[in-house]
Amino acid sequence: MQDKVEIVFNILSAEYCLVLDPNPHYQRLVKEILRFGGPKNLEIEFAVDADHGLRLLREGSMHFIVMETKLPLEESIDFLMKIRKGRAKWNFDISLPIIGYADAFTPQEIYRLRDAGISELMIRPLSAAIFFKCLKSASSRKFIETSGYCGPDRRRRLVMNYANKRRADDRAAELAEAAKAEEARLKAEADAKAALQAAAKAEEEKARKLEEAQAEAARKKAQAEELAREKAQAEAAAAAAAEMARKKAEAEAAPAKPDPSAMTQEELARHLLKQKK
Amino acid sequence: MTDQACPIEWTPDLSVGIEAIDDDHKTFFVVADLMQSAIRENPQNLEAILRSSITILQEYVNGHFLREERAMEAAGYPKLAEHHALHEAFKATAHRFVEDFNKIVDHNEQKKAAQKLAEVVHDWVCDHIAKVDMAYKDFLKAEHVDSRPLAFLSQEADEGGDDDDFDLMSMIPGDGPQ
Ligand SMILES: [Fe+2]
Repeated sequence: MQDKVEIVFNILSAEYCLVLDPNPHYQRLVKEILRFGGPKNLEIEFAVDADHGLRLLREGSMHFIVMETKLPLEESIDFLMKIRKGRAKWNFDISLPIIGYADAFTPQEIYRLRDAGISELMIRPLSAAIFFKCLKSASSRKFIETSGYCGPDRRRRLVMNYANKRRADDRAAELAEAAKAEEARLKAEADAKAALQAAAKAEEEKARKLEEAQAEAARKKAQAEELAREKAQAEAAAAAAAEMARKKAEAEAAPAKPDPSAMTQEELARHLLKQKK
Repeated sequence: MTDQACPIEWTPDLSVGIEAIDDDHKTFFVVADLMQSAIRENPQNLEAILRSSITILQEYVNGHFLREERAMEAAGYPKLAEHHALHEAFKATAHRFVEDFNKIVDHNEQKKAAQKLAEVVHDWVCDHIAKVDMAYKDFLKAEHVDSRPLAFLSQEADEGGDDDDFDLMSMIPGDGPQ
């Protein structure tokens, strides 16, 4: 157990610690865990929000931080990134262990907190034994500084309450289930979107075809009307021509009106007699 | 034991003369009081606070008993077996309370159960120090006592408390770079 003794010594050499949690009951609980469970002469400062925490860190270096990770979450992540990426800005040790806790974490929250530089995460209920295991683990971690990431080596393990291992196993299953459900939800969302798009496209196509059919019908109707009109005109012309022909024939068939001046005496006499009758 | 006989806070007349053990005893007063004040103030996340308090209380009880018993053994204390039996009886009582608490769903019933547990711990510790622990006061010396912080003894007292840490990250697929 040489390893353990050495690590205990490391943890016990801590003198200053920052607790970032707006809840006074958790502040007190964490204080009692540290005061009675940890380094004998540890001085604990409390911060109620990220800005307050940064102010206290600037005023006096801390050996480690214990924080609620849902300050809300965005505030906690912002706080972590400001510390981890602030090499040029701060006068304190940006690589100090930062232990976070919350009632529960989604896989996405764990990813985001890890990538923001959290050292360890604990799921409540808080456990004193786990608390110190986290500190031990965090204080033995390499610190990485690259352009993309600043924080403890991420190829490591985050610790949770082993006293609640069974609950943790359930939680693991829940988280895996949640990740699966999230994936299924995203796929369903994408499928629904695609189906909607396809339906809209089909609708558009249908409308276009209907419009086309209507235009075609209108065109045919106009054509038919034109034909009918032309036919009626032709018929009317034919009727007029027939009438004219009939009149002409009639005229030709009718006997010429007698011209009394050109009549012979005999003819004139017959003509006058006829008129008299 | 009445409140008159048992103060809310640890008082010097309860000292057994060994700092590490006195500190453990102070812890029980503090955690019991912490639970009671949370119940009084009734914050929104009371249940979560009580669950954390109870987990820590159990860990500290186990760690403290281990510290005392190891010291008694190291000192060759003749009443170790009796003392150990009393510790085990209390552990069983506390365990029953916690089991019962975990089954309760109703918020008010939870408060009542937690209040009762805090009182039982407070009164038992007070009575036990005054009547049982005081018996080893002149027998145990500082050199018999493992004076490491209580959390480390709690870890050792826990049956599954070796270094088989549970890996929260293994719950999510993939590991980070670096
Ligand atoms: Fe005892």
